[in-house]
Amino acid sequence: MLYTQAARVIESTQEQKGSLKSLVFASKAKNQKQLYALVCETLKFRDIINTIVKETALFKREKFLKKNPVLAQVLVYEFLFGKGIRCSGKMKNVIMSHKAALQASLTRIKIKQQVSKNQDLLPKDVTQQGNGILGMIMNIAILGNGIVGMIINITISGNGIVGMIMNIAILGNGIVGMIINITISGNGSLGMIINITIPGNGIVGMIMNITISGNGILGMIMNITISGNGILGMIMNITILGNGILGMIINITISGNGIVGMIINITISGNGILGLIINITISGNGILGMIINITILGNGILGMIINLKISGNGILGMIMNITISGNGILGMIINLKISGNGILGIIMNITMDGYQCVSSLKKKQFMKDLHFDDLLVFAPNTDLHDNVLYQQGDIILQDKASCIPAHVLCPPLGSHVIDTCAAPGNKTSHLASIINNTGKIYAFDLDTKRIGTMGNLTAKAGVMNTQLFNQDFLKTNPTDNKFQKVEYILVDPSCTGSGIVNRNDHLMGAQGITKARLRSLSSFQVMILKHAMEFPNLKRVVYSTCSVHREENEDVVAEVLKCNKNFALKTVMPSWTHRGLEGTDVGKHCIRASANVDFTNGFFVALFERTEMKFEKQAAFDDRRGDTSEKFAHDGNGDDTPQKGCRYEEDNLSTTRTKPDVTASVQRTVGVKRASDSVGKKKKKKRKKQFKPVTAK
Amino acid sequence: MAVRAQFEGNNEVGVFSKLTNSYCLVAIGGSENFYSIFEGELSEVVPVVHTSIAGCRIIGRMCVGNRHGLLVPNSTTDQEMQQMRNSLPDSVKIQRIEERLSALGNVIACNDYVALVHPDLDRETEEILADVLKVEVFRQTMADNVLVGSYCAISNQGALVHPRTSVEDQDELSSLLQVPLVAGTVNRGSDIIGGGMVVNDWCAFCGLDTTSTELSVIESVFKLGDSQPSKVTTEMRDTLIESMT
Repeated sequence: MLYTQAARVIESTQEQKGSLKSLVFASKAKNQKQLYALVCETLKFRDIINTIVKETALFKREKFLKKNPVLAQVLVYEFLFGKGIRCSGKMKNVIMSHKAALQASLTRIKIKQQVSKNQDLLPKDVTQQGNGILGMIMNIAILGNGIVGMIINITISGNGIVGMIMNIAILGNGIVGMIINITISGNGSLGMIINITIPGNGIVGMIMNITISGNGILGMIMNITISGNGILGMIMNITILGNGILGMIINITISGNGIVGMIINITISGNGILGLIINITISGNGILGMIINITILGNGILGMIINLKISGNGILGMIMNITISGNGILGMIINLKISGNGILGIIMNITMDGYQCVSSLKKKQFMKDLHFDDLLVFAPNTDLHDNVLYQQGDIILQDKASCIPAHVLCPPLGSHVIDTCAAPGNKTSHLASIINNTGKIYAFDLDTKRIGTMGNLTAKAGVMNTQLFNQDFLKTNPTDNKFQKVEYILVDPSCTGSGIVNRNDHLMGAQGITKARLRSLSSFQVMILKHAMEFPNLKRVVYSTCSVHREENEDVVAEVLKCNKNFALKTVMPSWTHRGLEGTDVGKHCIRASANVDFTNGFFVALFERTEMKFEKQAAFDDRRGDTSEKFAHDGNGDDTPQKGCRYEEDNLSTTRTKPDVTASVQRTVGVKRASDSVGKKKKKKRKKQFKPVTAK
Repeated sequence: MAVRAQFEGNNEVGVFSKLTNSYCLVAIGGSENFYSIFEGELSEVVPVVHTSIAGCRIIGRMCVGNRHGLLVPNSTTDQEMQQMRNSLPDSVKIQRIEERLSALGNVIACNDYVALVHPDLDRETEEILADVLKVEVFRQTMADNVLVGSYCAISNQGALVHPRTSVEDQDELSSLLQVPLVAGTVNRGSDIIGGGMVVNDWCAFCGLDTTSTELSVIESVFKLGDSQPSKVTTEMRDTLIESMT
């Protein structure tokens, strides 16, 4: 019975017997989705339901409900907010005999709160700060020579920002190590002007991050002028996220001689961008090693103009990437003008392809992931659980964030790897796929039941090189003979799971994560990481959690680094813009992922590498890494067709060439499957099986 | 249209009659004067029925009803029930209810969508009310009086409430009823609104003592008669002007 089951699940979560999801799926309900929805919605409306029950004195009148208060909540939810009571008998009778009172009480609450829809009764997440900022003018002028190590952070958050003018002028020569962060978030920004002027010579190591996120940005003008000679190692990141951006102008002017190692990244993602103009003018002699990346993702881009003007003599090793992807791009003009003598080795990549950016994936659409080759991204609410490919273990459903650790660890073929907290084995399978079933993976987990499932799953996925241990990783002996060849360890310990988006912990209120629990978890995490580092031949360790708490992430990393001098942090995926928390020493080396920026679960990854590793070893390692990535690219059938779908077909063709009828049917299944995708932000990992034919080639 | 009437020299017309959008009940009196006034106004549209309830003439205070139904107290005789069943339209459900507060007209005020009831009304009555009259039921007091039926008159167009109702209460009532509402009097200053008048969506009857000021307030809040600005100047105005420009 649905209602009793729902009541039981809610009671169990309140007694902290498990997470909402696991309890729902452990129940024997016929329709678990329905049960899950009912439980979540009831919890959402819990406060209102309690008020109604109190006002109508329901428990005084119905002893049956008084005995089952949680069931009463479920029934009241279903009657007032849900689809009406869908059963007969006692439960229906007790509610229906109070229907007038219940409805009247709900109406009264709505009247008191002055809302018309039930949905509006729910408390809003009051995180918005400073809305309706109007006419703000900010002038920051910094004058002086020899400025060293200055950090400027400007964060403006709020909706409806109107007419903001920000002038930042930094005057002075010999500025060293200056960091400027400007973050503006908010919807409906109107007429915002940002001027940044930096004239000065001898600027070294300046980092400038400008992030603007928000929808409905209107008429924004950004001028960045940098003039000066001898600029060294300047990084400029401009990220603009948001839909409905209208009339935005970005001017970047850089003039100066002897600019060395400057990186400019401009990323604009959003739909319905209208009238965007980007001007980049670089003039100067002796420019060396400059990288310019412009990435524009979005649909319905209209009237975009990009002007690039580079003039100067002796330009050396400039790389320019312009990537524009999106549908319905209309009237785009790109002007490139490069003039000068002695220009050497300019690489210019302009890519425009029409695949959708992640945020705009619609039902029955999917795409190749932007970061990982062996990953496909599906639209939200795609359900692949019933799919043949999933059931046979040909694909693995996993959040993109969970694919990062194995990718970062990137063990070469034939290596020995330990997965410390392995169950349910998705990361282990990913590792096995990366080393192509060669070498050896030792997977540990304490939970007997979960390691059983893991055995089934990995077997189904065709993982052959894994040895499962149902024991605590902390109790293993690092000097054991069988672990002597272990060079790579993946540490993905138990954590609060606070990053997991659809766990719905917030529904349970603040009782979820206590300080004490955080503390005990983080000490466990430190312990397990330290233990991992005791393996004698270890080269790299990847530490990852699906938590958003600093205590479990940056703090753990810092603590381990402090105690263990043999290992140092290595920068994880430099192209990933979402780094660890600022204000921590380790932050810039680690990466984080989150639902609203990267469309993944909240995640954290750090990479440790042994410091005393010999140079040849390191070089050899790098070579091998290069090989792997090359193989991946090669793999993708031909060098120039990135379409993942083709790969399936080719693989199927090659494996079943002798039986043409079967081939056809397989292809059809694949086609149907691709058409019937689902799962919220679930990413599917391509697997080992697909690599097999390739290696056979 | 608001009309003045008197029942055998008594101004409390709400006591001796019950008016809804689909029928009108009138007490049996010595003369037919009172009945004729109702008959003259309503006979072409809704049935006007002579009846008594539990042998009493104070039918307006005994029963409660709207377009969908009529609730009468348990003391109503079978003969009276039969008489009403025969005369009222078939779409109107008639039901006897067992209720300690048997003067239903005094403890319940309703239009076709909402009913305001005495806070101590029985749970079961509340449910029957919701089922038979198809209304949402709110337990309510009217300027600290529990007899909500006596102290207000409600139609689907508006409501007139006890003159001492506070502004906050008026706001709450207005949002419960979803109609405009004023506090006022009938019968030259009487605060017993429900007793002094009956009203439906197009017609009202007040006691003979009702002043013309009171009458005009009634006509305007219940949107009765010709004093209302016509549709051409209100609802259709924007459309017309837009198409003319």
